[in-house]
Amino acid sequence: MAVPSRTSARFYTLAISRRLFSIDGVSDNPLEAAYDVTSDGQRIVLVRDGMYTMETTVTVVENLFQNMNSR
Amino acid sequence: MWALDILTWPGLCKRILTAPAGELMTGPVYTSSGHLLYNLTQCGKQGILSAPFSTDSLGVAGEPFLVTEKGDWPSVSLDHTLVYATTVGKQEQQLVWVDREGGTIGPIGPSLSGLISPAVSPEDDLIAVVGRDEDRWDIWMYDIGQGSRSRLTFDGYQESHPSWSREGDRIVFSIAQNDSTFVISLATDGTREQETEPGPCPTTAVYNLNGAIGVKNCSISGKMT
Repeated sequence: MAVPSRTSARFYTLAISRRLFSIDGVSDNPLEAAYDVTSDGQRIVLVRDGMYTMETTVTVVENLFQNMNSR
Repeated sequence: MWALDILTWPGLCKRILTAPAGELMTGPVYTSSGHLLYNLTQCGKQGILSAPFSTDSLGVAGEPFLVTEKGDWPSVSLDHTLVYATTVGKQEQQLVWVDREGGTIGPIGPSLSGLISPAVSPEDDLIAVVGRDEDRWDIWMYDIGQGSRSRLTFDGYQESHPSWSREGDRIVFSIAQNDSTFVISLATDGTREQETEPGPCPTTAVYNLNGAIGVKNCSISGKMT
């Protein structure tokens, strides 16, 4: 959403807000914003979700039998 | 409820272990050392446990104990070598420019996990943003022109809500430490300048137009002060 505004000693809104666009794949965190705007208001930086990757590590433990007999 | 049962032919089914409420018990294997190994998953964390097992009574013969905190799908060979897998999922985020119509202009710098709260500097040349690396939440700085990034904080606490000063020479952000939060003003060269007293409430802060820091505390009920 965007709304013309003026900042001085107080914050004024000068018109009715209007929707700029809707977009999918933007990080959704209710406590912190996932965007900001440049000073001229023409570009918006968004946090977009990227690829979800899985990394698997295989571990080998030798002499397990010996270790367990000590339990 | 998850449990381990033993089946013998013909017709015997006996319950030998029951998982505590809310925990998943999977992947059991029997070893010639006289143990059962199995996965136990609790709150998303997986570990491998072992319990002594009697083939005479067909039952657990002792208290289960932890083999490894991080592991999945154990397998034990005849020469008593244990093999298990550890799988970690990772969600990366990417900063991107879009125009006022939502059209993508392009990516900004490399991706990182946990990116949130980007703050563009007044000169539009830097972006301060929260990011996660190795389970640490820090403030990162993206250089828009160079497409590079660097870490601005290294203290191991959880930083959030970066905000720029009007001159673009300082940022202010919140830090969560144990059960308290406080606000720090940091020069872009990494020099700490100002801190608030730690308090019990989640806190965010912004520079106002006069260069002063406005602090907002939000109680659990959502009331702002």
